[in-house]
Amino acid sequence: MTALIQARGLRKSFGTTDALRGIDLDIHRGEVIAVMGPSGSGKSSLLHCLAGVLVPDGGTVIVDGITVSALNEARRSALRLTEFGFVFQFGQLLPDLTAVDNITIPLLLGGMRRRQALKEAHGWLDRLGLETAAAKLPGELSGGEAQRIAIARALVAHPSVLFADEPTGSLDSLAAENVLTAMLELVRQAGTTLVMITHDPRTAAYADREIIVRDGQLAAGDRVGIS
Amino acid sequence: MNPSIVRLAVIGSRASWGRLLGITAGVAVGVTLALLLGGAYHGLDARDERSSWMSASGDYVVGGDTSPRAVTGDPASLGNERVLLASTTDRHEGTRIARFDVAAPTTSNITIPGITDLPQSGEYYASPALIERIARVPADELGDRFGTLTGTIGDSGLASPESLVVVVGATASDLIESPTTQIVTDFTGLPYRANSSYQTVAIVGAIAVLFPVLLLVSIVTGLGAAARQERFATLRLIGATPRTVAAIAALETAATSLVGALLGVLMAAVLGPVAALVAVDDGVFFAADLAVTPLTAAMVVAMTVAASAATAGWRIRRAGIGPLGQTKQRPEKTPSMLRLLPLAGGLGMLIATTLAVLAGLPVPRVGTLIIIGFTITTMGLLVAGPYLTLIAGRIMARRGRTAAGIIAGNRIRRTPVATFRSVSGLVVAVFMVSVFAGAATTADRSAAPSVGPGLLAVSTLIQYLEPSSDAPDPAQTDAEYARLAAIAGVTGVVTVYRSDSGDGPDVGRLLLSADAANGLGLGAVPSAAVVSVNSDVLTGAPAVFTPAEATDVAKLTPRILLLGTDGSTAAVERARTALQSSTIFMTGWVPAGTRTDLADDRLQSMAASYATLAYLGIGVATLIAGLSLAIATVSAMIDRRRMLALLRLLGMNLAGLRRIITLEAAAPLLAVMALSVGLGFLVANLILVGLTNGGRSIGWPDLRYLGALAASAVLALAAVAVAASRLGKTTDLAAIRYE
Repeated sequence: MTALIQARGLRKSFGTTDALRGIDLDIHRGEVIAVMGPSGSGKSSLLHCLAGVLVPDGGTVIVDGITVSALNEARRSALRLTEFGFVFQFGQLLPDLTAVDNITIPLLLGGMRRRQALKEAHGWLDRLGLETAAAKLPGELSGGEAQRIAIARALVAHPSVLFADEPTGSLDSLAAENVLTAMLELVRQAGTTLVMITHDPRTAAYADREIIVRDGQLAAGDRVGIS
Repeated sequence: MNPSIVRLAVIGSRASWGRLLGITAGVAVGVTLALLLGGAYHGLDARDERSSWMSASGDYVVGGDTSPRAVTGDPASLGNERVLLASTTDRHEGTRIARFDVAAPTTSNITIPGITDLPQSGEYYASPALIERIARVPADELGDRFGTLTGTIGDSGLASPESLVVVVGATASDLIESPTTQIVTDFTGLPYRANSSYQTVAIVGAIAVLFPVLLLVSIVTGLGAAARQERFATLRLIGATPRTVAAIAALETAATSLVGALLGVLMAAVLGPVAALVAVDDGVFFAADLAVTPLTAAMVVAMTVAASAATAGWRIRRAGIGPLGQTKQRPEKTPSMLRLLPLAGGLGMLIATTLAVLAGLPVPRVGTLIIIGFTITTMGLLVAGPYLTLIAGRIMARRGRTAAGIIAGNRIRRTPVATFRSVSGLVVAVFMVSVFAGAATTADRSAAPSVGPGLLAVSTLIQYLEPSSDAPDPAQTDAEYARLAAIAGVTGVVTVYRSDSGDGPDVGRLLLSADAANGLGLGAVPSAAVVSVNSDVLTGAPAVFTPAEATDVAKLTPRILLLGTDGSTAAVERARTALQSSTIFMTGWVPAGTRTDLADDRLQSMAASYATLAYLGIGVATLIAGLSLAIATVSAMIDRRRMLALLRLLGMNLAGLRRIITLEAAAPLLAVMALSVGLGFLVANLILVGLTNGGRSIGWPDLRYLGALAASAVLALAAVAVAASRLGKTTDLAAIRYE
């Protein structure tokens, strides 16, 4: 089976620090991957290079046959819009927009009419049990609510891949459990690939596969072909 | 306070240096402009003070109460404490020359500023600009009007280096019969600016221009506030108290503002002589006019530094920065509808005053009431701005169809005060220019003399003749006519009479021989020896001739002389000079003029006279406001770079981000600017109607206004475009870390 994401020889440096030192990785469609590793190991740099947020200094990233690392910024923007979704630890909702408006943004960017986008967004709120939060601003939401809104926004445009960087890192254990459950349920239903950075082994346990990054390299068992 | 902490907090990074440089540059520009504006205000006062002698007045000799003074044609009758003065406006090539004919004994104690001794008959003193002009053109076009040059009027008697002023010596008998002659005991006039209405208008104008300057300083000192708050949060984490971080913020801003303000003083000193070259009203300034005293400069510097530091400290205290950053979001207080009250109050005052005037009710101090109403309306616009911005934001957020529109609309809705602040300078500038342009349309409509068949040619000189106690010698008159007719470029000399009888159909009309009438080429002339024509033909009305009651012009008194010319400037000036040097036609001491000159006289209203000043002020205000808008836009971008980068991450391209930034500036700008234009014209109309008892109303604005409006819009767009061009760098995904 051809991998949805193929990374080969990924290298990335920040000044004199080598964040990624030649990473090879295949990720298959619908797979849930947990990326683990100590702080500063290069997890976020890997995720950002895979998603086209960072351009690697060396190596290639191919997503569904498209070489992401060779695209210009405009094409990478378009790819992020149509193929990728993102969830971070916190602070990712647009502070001036209500919850429902936040969810509509990817749809509007994709050219959908606002009325239809709002309908879709309300549908997602309903699925997540957040209908009462529709008109709230991010500052008025609890941490768990904000993360679930962020997940809805990340998935509303039906991306192929959801990149999540410590999505439950700022939540208490109960809220983290709820958020994780909701996210996994949604990606499984949609067949979306999930690449999730986490420090928490319990979170990682939900994944189909764990990979460990150390000093900018994958741990021995996580190389290409061993999945 | 530990200097190391300050150093860490203030100059911790390259970005900090950029921010400090930005604040320094912004404050320097603001202080430069404030000092130049202060200099200009002082300069206008100084030139007004110097030229106030030109408005010196006394009792008129003809028709005045002169009998106790027993002034006669004998200079000795004046004594040493009085002079005869006839002040008129002469012209050369369309430029006005202030002419003062004086008669005084050589022993006179009276002096004119800029002149050591009063000129005697046949002598004259002229301003340097006039002397240069006299030297440049043939004597028969200008120099021959005045006599022999005996001296130069010094700077202390001139408004501007470009002023055209001449003081001509005359004999008492030359002036004694002129209706314009006054007995003057002192050449100390009242400065125009002493007028309280003018002072009020000037203060309002100064506020309108200074407001964007203060806004600029306020905006630049807030540059990079978000980044700074992060650093201060770190200081709080390691133990600094809220008071300490506020003190550091104040100290940092004070030091930066001080450097900027001192640079501003330097720049103002360098640019002062350049600014003096801008012609306002009477011409360019003397460089010394715009000089600001060291005390004023020191006060501006001190006030800028104190205000900037206090504001910075207050902002940090208010932000509530804790060890983990800003502890609580401080959402703006939603502006309420009550903010419309001052605007409504100002407009209500103007409308009520105007209606009362139109209804004929006794309204005391109409001018003052209108100025107060105008001032309240201007302030009201600034108070109402955030509320109107909020409404514009709500509409955008609700009706937006694109991501950019919805994001911009919601941003405006959440931060209407800050959003309006960034465009308020332009809004005030547009309001002011609209009021001014509206008021000026009255003058403009009557500015250009009309031309066409049946209308007196605009190049025909009209010389009014005053009846003399001594009847002119017919032979001398004929010789004078022949001399005028022989001037190169003069195409005809026509004498015009008025009916001497107190009643009859010709009263109020002009009389002339049918031959002369035919010579004017103004249309059909009835077959009669003498015909009459409507007197307003001289001011541009079509000529309508009818047979006159009188049958012989020789029995009538000549009142007007018309000199037709070939239209060339040289011919007009030669004829004007010849008329002024004539001994038989100058009894009125009112120099000849054309219909073009008459139209120019009409333009000398206060509004028209200060047109350059007003447009200049508005231009400066618009420029500063545009700069402020650009800085505010950059500042907002830097403070929200994380959010904007997030949008890029979600797939929004740079064009989409630019649309957000542009919409956030353009939407409130257009909404409130449209209101400013409408309000401006409404206010202009109310002012005009109120001040003229309904005699005048506004017309369509002229091209200068539309140009100013277009320039404001272009400047605003350019400011935003320049700021938005940094978006790519500001929101570089590689430079922003998401966790």
